[in-house]
Amino acid sequence: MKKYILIRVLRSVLSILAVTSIAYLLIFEFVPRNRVFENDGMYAKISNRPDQLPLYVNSKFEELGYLIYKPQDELCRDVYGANTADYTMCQDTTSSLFKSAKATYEAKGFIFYTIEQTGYIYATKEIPVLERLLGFYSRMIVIDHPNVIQDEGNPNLERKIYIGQNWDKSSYALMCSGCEHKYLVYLDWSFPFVHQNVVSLYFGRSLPTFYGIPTFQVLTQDQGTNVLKPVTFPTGVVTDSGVMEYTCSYKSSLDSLETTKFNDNYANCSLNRNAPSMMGTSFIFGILALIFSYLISIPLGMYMASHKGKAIDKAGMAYIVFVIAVPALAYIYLFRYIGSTLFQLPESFPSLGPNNMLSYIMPTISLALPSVAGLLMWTRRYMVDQNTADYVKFARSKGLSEWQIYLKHILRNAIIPIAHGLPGAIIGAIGGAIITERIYAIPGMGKMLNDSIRVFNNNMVITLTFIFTSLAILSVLLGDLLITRIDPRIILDDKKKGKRKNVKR
Amino acid sequence: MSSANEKFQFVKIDEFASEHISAPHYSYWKSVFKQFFKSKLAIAMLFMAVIIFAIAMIQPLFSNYNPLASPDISDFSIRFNRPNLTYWFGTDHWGNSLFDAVWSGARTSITIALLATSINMTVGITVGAIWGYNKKLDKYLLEIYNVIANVPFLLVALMLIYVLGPGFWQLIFVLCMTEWLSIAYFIRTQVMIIRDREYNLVSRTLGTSSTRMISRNILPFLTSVIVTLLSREIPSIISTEAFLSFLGVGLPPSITSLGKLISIYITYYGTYPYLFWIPVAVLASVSVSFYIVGQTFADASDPKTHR
Repeated sequence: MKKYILIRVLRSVLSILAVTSIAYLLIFEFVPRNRVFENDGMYAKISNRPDQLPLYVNSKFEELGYLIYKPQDELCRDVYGANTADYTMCQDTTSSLFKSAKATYEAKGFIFYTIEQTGYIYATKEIPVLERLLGFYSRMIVIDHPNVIQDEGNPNLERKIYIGQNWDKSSYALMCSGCEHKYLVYLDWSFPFVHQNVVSLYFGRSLPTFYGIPTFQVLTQDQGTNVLKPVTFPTGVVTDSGVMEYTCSYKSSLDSLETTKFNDNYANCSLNRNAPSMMGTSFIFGILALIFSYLISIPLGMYMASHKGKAIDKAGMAYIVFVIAVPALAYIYLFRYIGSTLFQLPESFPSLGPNNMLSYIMPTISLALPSVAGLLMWTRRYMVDQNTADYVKFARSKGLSEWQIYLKHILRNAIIPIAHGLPGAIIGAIGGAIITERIYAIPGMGKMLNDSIRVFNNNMVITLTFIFTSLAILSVLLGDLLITRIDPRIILDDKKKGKRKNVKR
Repeated sequence: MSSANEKFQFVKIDEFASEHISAPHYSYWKSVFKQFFKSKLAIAMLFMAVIIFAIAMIQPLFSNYNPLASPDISDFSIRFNRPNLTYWFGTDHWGNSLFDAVWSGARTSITIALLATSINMTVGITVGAIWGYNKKLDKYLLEIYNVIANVPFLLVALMLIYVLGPGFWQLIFVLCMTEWLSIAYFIRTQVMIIRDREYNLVSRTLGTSSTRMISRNILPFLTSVIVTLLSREIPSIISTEAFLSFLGVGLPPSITSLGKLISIYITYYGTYPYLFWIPVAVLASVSVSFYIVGQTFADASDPKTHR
């Protein structure tokens, strides 16, 4: 079994890598590069300046990882070093120094271009797409360690990992000097209570929206407005501030205000905001919808089965048909309309904001609608089928009440397919989130996917594809492992005698 | 004793009656239609589906609706007219008749749904039948299926349409790209269930070729399953197409569809609700009528329901 789990985990990782790689190759090979500039104000401004446009375009392409771009001065600096006499000489493109530099770069495969108007020279080299893909994966997992910071202005930076106290001396943490982050592992009162900054993911930088911020950070940093509260800084100064001490990372030079507050270089702190991150928002809705749909559909499905053919059963079946037949776009708007006119619930998430319970009701219901239909159908079907099984007849002949039979006997068996439906529900919730978040204007990952597709934010699209695919594939894996825990009769291993249970979702 | 025997008489053998087979005449398709027309709801829905289909296919030929042109844009008196006798569905913010727009959109949506569904079903059933029948192929196709089925369809569709760019045929390609695989998987499971039944075993022993086994022995058995699948596939494609167009990634500006109309008129959701709700209602009617007709037909095509 252990070997089987290992193989399954490996296979899941392979699936994630396969999907992400295909997405990466497709996006960088087939999406025309110039589409990035469609919503770019800067590009529009200089589009009639042939002397500046190529420089701007190529520097953007370099940021996006399409090519290596070397303008004239950077070329000279790389060969002769900054602020040397040779460097100054090299700036003259007719000089022999420049020509030799050009020759070395041409040997490396660079292609040289001259801007007609100014005579300025730059060189570019395309990066093959497979090399970019390898680079993408090699940079993906970032591990923080005491040798990360290499700051020429601070050669005496201490390099150690130690256990220390936080700013107001209320708790202990695993801290570091020389790492990117000051706090490696720390405790606080928010879920999941133990947090870490050691391992993080990097998928490239977001362009053109959220300009230059790493995409993963865009998804995980808190949103909303800054909240001020009294903070005790390391130097003992107490002021109202919005910084979160656990997020502080290295900053090479501090300004005068910062030197009064910090006694080391870890002064680059994120701000404490009042709304959860995009990822957090999506997770809150996903979990709420999952709980809601199971809470509604299992009791209702049981009730329908026990009143088969009655009005409630027919109403439930009508609802299932409704969800399958009516397009999601139509019924989500219909429910939103009902919610806003009959119950005065907000029509969009931002109107009351993330800190008001009422904002969560309608989106959660919308997100749960399809999975309720699926689960309801399953539970009812299973209950009806099992009603005539021998063990149920026996239980009935013992004189047990119908509810005891349903709860203690049938549900025990029905829980297996229901538990196996859990990953399906999560996959459904991801797809649903793209629709629901857009309709209710929820600032989550589903809306972000749509927004980034609109502005051709390639790195963000890949990041979100990776996250959604991983969630989906891992939830299927967990669903399979969960049913073996619940029901020991199921053996997933193909090689043993047991048959792999192909529960249809 | 003799008096009792005298009451019986010998009857002549009736050649005609002894040759007659007493089972009633049975025709499969006749029974299917008989069963189908028993349901009043199905007849009503079939009527609705036919009317919607006919209007959607014919009306745009006469209206010449073009989403890029707004001929009455300068006439302010025909903006935001509520539904009336001249403009049955009212007019929009540029003075275009919503009636023309909706049927032009419905035409695109229905065409896309039918095209994509027929491609998906043809490819899916063919591959699924071979997949279920051929044990060697199973290992490889199952691996591919396990990867693709675990990724949300909407995510794949969004990603592909992003890569390919907007366009009618691009959209069809995206809607077909992965969907056929789940149909094939479904058919594969069904084929595997009946593949080794006795009548197929006998047939194979008698030397029936694989193609004939699949096309004559197995697929006819699955008629009702396939029709059920079909009736779910059409609403699902319509829904996905509507959503992709709603997000503004599916079709180019020159082609309209119901999802696109909904995304344009969502701005007038509060002020001119008819602009929003009429396309939504048409979208829902198309999808529901196709679904109910399909479901009833699927039930009727199961010989067990024939009496």
